[in-house]
Amino acid sequence: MSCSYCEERISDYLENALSAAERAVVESHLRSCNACSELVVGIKEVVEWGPTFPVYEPPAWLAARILVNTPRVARETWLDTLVSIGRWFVEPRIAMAIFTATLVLGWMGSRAGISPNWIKVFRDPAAIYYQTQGLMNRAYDEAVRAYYRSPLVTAIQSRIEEFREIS
Amino acid sequence: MRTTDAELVKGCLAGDHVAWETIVRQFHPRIYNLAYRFTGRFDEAEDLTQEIFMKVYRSLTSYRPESGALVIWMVRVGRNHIIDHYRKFKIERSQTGSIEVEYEKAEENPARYASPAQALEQRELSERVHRALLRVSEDLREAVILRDLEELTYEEIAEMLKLPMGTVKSRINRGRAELARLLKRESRG
Repeated sequence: MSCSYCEERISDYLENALSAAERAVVESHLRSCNACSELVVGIKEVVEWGPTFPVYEPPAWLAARILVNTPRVARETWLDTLVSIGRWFVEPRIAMAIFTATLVLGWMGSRAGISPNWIKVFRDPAAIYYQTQGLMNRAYDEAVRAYYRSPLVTAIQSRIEEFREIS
Repeated sequence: MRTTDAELVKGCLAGDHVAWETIVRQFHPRIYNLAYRFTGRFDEAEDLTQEIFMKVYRSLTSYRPESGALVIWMVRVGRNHIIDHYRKFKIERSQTGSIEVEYEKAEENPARYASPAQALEQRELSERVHRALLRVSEDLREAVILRDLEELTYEEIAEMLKLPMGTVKSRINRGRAELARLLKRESRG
């Protein structure tokens, strides 16, 4: 058993999270390796340090400062959220993008021979909403499935994970 | 009569300043200490405490009394804020000068201990380990603080940092090992 194998398991060893077999292997290595034994002692000290960390008194003026500053901050209500979303929609760039997207989608729909049945729409306007919702849900499901099945995404994710482990 | 968390929050939402003052006075030491553990600086902990309370005040409507105590919810808001702050500003501290100043301030700042002898011993150990911890790389430090100082479970840390459980465990172990080596080097020093 190598020192790096032992080092990777020291926290689990100290927290009694190893299986009996793994624990025996780690203990046997510790008996023969001074460096790893010293590391176990050091890590144990670190683990024991946490609960003894002192509790500091905040400065006496801190609560007053927080209270003085509070009234300047308006609490966000659902109405504020709605207004901020509305504001985002009326931004010239966003409005232009929505307008352009509507035109392009309309043009693509007419090219593809898709046109709404206006009599049906007039009789049951809610049906458009439910049909669109169903269509959107199916498209979203397909997109998510395609994303997770994509070998490129899997490869990128595993590389990122490897990079994180190394760094 | 003791006011419940739900009553305090309800009072705040109705514009009752006394209710808000009760929340601030009751919980600001907890938030202040949380911020100090992450930053190791008193001035930064003071600013972060202020920011966290502003965030709490703005989002009080999202607190649900049935999901737990107010302090637990506030600490969760605080941790998320500190982690965002950490990642946003990529705090790079020069360990020499600023830490010395911090410990001078710590001397003036009496911590709560059982006896003077215990206080001295605890403070020495704490200062030594915290100083070393601030030299550990940011990702590892964050994981060690959440596990060993904030005493969160591995599952909670994985959820908070949005990382796989294996990565969290590995970071905590590597962080502890790095910290142990730094302490050893320092004691031989």
